[in-house]
Amino acid sequence: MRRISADVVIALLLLVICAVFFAETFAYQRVYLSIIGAKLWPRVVVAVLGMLAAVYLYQSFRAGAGERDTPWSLKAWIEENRNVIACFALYGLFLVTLPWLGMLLGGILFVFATLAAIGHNDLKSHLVHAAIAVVSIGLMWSVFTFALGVVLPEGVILPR
Amino acid sequence: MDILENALLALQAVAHPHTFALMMIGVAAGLIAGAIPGFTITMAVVLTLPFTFGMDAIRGLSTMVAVFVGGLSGGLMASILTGIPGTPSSVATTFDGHPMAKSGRPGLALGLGVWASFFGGLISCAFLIMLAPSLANIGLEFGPWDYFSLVVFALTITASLAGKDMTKGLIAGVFGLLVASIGEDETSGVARFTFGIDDVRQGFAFLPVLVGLFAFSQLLSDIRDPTAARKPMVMSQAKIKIEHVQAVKTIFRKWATLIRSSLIGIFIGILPGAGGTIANILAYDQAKKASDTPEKFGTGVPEGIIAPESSNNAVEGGALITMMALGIPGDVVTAIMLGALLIHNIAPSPTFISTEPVLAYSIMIAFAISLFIMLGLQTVCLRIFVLVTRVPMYQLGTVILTYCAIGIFALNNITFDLWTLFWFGIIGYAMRQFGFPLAPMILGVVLGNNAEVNLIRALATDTDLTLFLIRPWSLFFILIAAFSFAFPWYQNLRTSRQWTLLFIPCLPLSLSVPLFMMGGWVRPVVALGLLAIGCWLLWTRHKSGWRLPKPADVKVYGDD
Repeated sequence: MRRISADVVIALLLLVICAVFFAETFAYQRVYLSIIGAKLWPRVVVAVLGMLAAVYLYQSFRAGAGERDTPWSLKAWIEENRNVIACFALYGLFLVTLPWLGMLLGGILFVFATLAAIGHNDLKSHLVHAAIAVVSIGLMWSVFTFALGVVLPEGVILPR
Repeated sequence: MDILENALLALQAVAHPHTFALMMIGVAAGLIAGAIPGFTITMAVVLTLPFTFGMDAIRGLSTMVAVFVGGLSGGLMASILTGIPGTPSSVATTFDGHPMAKSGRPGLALGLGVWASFFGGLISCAFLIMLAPSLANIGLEFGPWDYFSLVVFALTITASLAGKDMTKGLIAGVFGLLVASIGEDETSGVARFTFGIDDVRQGFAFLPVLVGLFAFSQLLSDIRDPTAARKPMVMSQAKIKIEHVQAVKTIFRKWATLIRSSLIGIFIGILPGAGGTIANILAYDQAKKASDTPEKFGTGVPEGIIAPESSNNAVEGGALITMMALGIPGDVVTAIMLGALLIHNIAPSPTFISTEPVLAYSIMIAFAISLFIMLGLQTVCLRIFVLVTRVPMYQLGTVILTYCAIGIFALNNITFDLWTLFWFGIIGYAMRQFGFPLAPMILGVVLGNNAEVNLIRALATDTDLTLFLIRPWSLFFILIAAFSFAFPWYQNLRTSRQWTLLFIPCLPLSLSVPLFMMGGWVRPVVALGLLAIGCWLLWTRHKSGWRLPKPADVKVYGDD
């Protein structure tokens, strides 16, 4: 059986996105005073994107999947992108916990956890990671809070 | 107020000790960031942005220009000393810079790079000061039809220069337009593509989108390989003295290379979306072709350093010309600068120089002053570069990621911007992995609103679509857009298809039509010149029997 390339999957995904977005333009509120509706431009953009996605799909089908030495596996993909997945997951966690931890504490924990997840795994390195987290975030937080007058999220544990 | 008075006011603002100190810090930061392999100049400018929120527009923009100038010159340190390009703009510098350093002349190699950067920047600055005000007068002639066609042209040319796959470039550009249309419509207040999510009604702020797409995804790409991420970035050398006098003498002897490369840089900079990445390789290639000893290129010849470094610094002047005269970013960095202007409630448009003359001249003066600061700081930054590159990438990347989050929050003080950064970081990373260029998407996000407003204005004035083809400036941009759209086909087929021989001659011939339509006497004269060039190109092809070039003689640019 012919294998499907990543390009085909992306092109199909783009076509689905275009269909969903195009359908959404019918749900817009009608404004009677406006001469040209708010939906004109989005429809033009989505239609052009849809056409390009169709061309991309055609080109991807013609190009085929190409030869791979080893079959694609989820486990290998996760291993290959381990650092990236760890960073995204920890950054997501940092954002979710931001209302409670605040920028200072949350930032320090995020930097430390990320360094521990993707860096060297020994006691000395962890001490260095902790120092980097406290100094870098503490410094940045101080610059923004005291020098630039920006009110960063305070959280409930360490309110300013 | 006349030009002189505006320029003096601008000089007064830029030369203020506070602004000058900020520019010194900016140049130093740019030099160091540009020198770190994997850290692009764009990221350095993005990271500077949050600090400029609290400044006035002149101070903020001057600092950003300083970082940009520093970044363009910083890339040469890593390229010459380690053989790893500090930024994509200094890839060609490694070809001769590193061999010269390895052969025992690192000081001369650095000197040539520093001074070539300085002179290249200075030449482009002169062009910026001469050309931008004249081009701005042209911008005043633009109606909504013309401006819309200009945006179409900018997106098309960016996509066509993005690399081998133009379809992906165009998809990225149109996807950017789609992102820009999310949120409340400016004219009617209708919520668009919100899917019932209240936070999305306000739309996505430009900077979190840009930082997510570019910086976030770049950092994650840099730390993807666990082994490489844990190693110090560069095992760098220490104790090198830059040979300034010898370098200046050599550059003056090779003045033709300097001028040619700087002009290439300015031209590439003026094209929307084309930056130093293309300019430095193109200039290197032209220097090699023009040399009496092309076989020596790659062994450490001075021209091999002068050409890429002068061209990549000259790009900046060209990009600023496009930004200030037409309101279109010349590259990703000037797109960020446009974002910075929006923060200060200054709308980028072709009327920028006439409505904000002091700010416009401040940018030009800041550019010139930054070049001198760069020259002075290069020796100091060389020492810091040696220290910074000993830090492993994963440590630097993580800290900068958090810094991005803090900086983006400071923009509007809303957590939604941090989520925007997160989601667009994922999109940017996925786009990089699947070979979609980011520059067209960024341009789409920046120009989306302007494109919509001008299209609506044009249609509200007159529903006749032929106006896009009969108004001279609109036709001019549509013609260039059509040629840039067809350019990848021309590039791929020029050794095998006969029609490609007509492609280049047809460009000046067709562009002469709108120029004739513009009237007056200057433009028809230019049009006559273009006609003559087109006819001459046709004649040379006819004389050579319509023979196609050999594949070995053809080079493809833009596949970066």
